[in-house]
Amino acid sequence: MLVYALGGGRGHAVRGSVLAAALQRSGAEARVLVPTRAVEVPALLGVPCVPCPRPRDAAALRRFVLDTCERHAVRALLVDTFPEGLLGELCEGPAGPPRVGLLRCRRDAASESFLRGVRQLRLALDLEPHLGWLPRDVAAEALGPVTRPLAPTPSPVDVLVVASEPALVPTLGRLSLRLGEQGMRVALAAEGRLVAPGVDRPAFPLPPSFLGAKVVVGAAGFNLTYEAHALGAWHVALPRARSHDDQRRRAAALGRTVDSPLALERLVARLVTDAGRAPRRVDVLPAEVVARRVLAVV
Amino acid sequence: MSRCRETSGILFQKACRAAAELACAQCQRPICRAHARSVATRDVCVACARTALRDPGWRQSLVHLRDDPYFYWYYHPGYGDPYGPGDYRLFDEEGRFGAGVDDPWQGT
Repeated sequence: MLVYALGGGRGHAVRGSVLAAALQRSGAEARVLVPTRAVEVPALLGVPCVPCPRPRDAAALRRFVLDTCERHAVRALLVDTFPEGLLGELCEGPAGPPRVGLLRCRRDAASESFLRGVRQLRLALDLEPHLGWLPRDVAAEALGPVTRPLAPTPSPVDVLVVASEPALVPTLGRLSLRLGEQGMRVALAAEGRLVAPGVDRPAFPLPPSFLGAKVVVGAAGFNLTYEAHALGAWHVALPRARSHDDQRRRAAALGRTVDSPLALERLVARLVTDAGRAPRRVDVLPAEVVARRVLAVV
Repeated sequence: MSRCRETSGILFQKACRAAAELACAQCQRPICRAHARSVATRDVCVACARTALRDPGWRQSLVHLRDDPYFYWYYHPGYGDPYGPGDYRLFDEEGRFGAGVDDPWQGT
């Protein structure tokens, strides 16, 4: 099987690699298709990958995907997020192997290209049914969010601050320093490093002990949101604009949001001091659940 | 070659394991390239650059360090609201949601 995990950022590569690893554990031969710039993600998670260089256009990407499927005798293509292909390439030309869609929230779920891609799927799995984002007439099986295996362990910090993109670094760096000055134990993941008192290591993959801090501050992407949620952390979310992802919707459903940096600082301090663990709003599933469902179909 | 002797970090102090490539023009400590900053055309260590930043007379000349992660917090006033317009912009992106801001291949 081939897990199609192309897309901006590293979130698709993480989710795709986690699913490929679960498929392997279930006895299937699986590899993940990722952009060349994200090959370190499957490498760190121990999953064989097919690096995909930036294509010239949709036709070139279609050729690359179909050639890869043929070369590896792929029986099923698991497509993360983009049932139509990242550049719309999967809906054109030869059909290729049967496709299973792993659908997460998209702002353009009503667009014709997305719906056309969904119609061509053998099976559509909704990874975020609790967000109510899919149009009603889309036939998708409600599943739930999946993450890598995360064992709860005591956290060495009160707050994990994740500045996952350059625009977040100055503000969240200041926030980290000020929270530290108020006596909180703070870890900051920024520019590829995770730093905390006595800790300086690569930020990826974030250790479960840090994700299980009392409070996690960061964007409202799929992986950070559900990994923090699975470990009972409060997620104070800074939803970021994305071309497809709807971080605002996810943040409203699962996180706490604020409208100024000072409000952010006050909320984090209040949660650290006064609150218990965050309430469970949705069950986060191990990737094996998806693997089993996929293997039952293809 | 000797080891870099700078211990300043972005948030916390720690020893630097990199090889020294030059000496701080202010304190003469051996430092690596990553810990060198240009101050008045001289290469100085992060600690000396931070010391210079505390002098209001130097502050305007060192504005190129404002977006340097080692110096973010040296630019907030330390009283009242410590956050600046750039920080508030993060929370004021209502209009950007819905816009195609990403390159679908590269992301943000």
